[in-house]
Amino acid sequence: MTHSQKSAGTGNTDRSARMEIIIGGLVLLLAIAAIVFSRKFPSTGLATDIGSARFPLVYSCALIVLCAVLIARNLAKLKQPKTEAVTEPDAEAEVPNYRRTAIGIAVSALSLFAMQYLGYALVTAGYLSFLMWLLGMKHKAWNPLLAIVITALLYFTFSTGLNVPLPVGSLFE
Amino acid sequence: MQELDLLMNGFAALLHQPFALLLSVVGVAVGIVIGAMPGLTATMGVAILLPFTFGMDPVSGLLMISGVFFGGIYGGSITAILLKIPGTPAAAATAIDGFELTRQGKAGIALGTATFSSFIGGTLSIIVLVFMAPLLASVALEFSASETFALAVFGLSIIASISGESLVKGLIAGFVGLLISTVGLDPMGGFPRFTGGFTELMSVPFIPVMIGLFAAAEAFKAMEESGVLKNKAAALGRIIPPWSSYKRMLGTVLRSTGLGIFIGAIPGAGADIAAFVSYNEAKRFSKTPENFGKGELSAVAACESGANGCTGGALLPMLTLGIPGDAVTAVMLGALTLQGLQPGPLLFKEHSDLVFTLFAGMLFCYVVMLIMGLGCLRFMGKILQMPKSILTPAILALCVVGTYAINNSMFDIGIMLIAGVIGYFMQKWDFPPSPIVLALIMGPMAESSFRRALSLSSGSYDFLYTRPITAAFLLIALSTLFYPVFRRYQKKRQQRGLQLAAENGAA
Repeated sequence: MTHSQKSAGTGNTDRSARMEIIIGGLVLLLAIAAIVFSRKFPSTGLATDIGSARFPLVYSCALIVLCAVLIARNLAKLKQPKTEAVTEPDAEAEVPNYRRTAIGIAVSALSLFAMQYLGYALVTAGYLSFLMWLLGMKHKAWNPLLAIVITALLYFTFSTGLNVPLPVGSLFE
Repeated sequence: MQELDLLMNGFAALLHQPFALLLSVVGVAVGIVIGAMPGLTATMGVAILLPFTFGMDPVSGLLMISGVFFGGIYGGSITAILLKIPGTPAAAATAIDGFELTRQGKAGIALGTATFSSFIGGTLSIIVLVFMAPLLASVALEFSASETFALAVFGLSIIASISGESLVKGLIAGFVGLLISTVGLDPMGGFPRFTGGFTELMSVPFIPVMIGLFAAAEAFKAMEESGVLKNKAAALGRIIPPWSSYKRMLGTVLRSTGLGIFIGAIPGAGADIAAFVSYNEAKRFSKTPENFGKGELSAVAACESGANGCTGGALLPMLTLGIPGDAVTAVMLGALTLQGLQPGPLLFKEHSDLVFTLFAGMLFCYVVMLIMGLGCLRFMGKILQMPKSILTPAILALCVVGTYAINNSMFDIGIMLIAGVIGYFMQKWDFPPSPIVLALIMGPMAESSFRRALSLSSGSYDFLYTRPITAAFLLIALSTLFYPVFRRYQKKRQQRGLQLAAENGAA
């Protein structure tokens, strides 16, 4: 058992605890923001009604309590003496490629933006072709061909079959 | 057994109407496709086909619509199990364990179980509709705002059982969902809340959030691994579940069907609520509740029989009292009226032949659904054998188009993507997404019912304990919420006891 393996085991637990504290903090801020904004909601004017703000207030207060529990629990975990739990690395497991996911998310957002101008067909074909390439299918002919086939299939199912008018794009309107 | 004779006559009449039989087959097929598409619901399918029924005779038109309704509820489970894309809100509950089974290479058996359970749930609900319609409809009418509120609270308490390893994380996800459910117009005053001036946020964007949290998040996660290899769990395996294993689930299926029928009969409650409640009850009665969420076959059976049990339940108040239980039956009510039929107690007296022919046709629809469902599963299973480099982009494209189809809105796609990214990070840090979906279904129902009940009782909170059904539901909700806490405490105490005994033994 090497020292680096030991520290990797405890490091993961620490990192997970710190991340949960950050998430708890963010949700806590969301709950506080909801309380602040809901204070501005007007009354319904009905004597028997509790008002528009009551339910968001109750939910926010519950969230604050739960986030406090989550944060306190993880702070306690960080203060505990470190156990030397070691996880053996799986030789067959693939190392997650977070960069690919980040690029995928960014391209999805970009496609959404472009779809307003270029329309469904053009953007979806390009989007699919790029994602296939990103995921390792790097064929010059098959990528665009498959992308066009899937785009057309979806287009005919939704636009023709189900009468859903898909975006044409402001540049082509 | 006058009803049985009338039903037999209905079957005989149906045999003389081959066009109606053909249209019910078409309806089921269209329903399955629509149900499997994210964003397209049974309501939308029924609404799309409604204009086609104008020129048809009542039996043909209504059977086609019924076929879409039944197929739509079932179809959602196929993509939920294979791809974690719940085609319908009800299938969100099926996706929890169904997709885990696919990951374990048991997609075939999960799909087969879902198909059989849907068939049993749906068929039994129609049989109940035939024999007990007036009785159940009167019970359902006892539900006022306070009972609906208590039912919603009971539904919300299910968060405790779908929270996975950490109850605190599940509750945080649930309350975030509840907070999101307050976005939109205030149910009493009509004042916009947390909309930021966006008209698109005037109602809770429930389906985009659901598609994002389940399907897009899974696609983003799949991008972490290279896509040239085929899916690890590519094999569909056996489809028809062995009788020995299905026999053990029969109790769960029957209980869930009963719950589905009852919940379906309550106005405002639908298949989504029935699926989650059935999941919770299946877990509560299970000898291995720890397997739920990790790929438990009886969970899939419970959700599907509960959701499909709802179909007959929803038709109960619509046919017997003329009160639609949900959006689909509201459209069906319109279809009946268009055919010159007035739903209500007189419908059974004046048009009993037609009504029982319809019931016979509905039973036929479920048989068609079973045959068609089992027949297409092998073909649908081919999806799993696609390389990830094609499947993942195709899932994302389907999510985009399906989300756009709900309101023809690019804004909804944006919400779906944001929910997808949040769902991806939730998966990374073990925050379950199902409580958010459940909260989005139950939250608006809980708030509007509570405030209506309060107004009806002149501002007094007495309705919480003076009405027996309300009090019973609230008590069950409390026990559902605190039972997992109690069990965990008990488990920890047992472990501590064993540890102490071991230490004493060693000393």
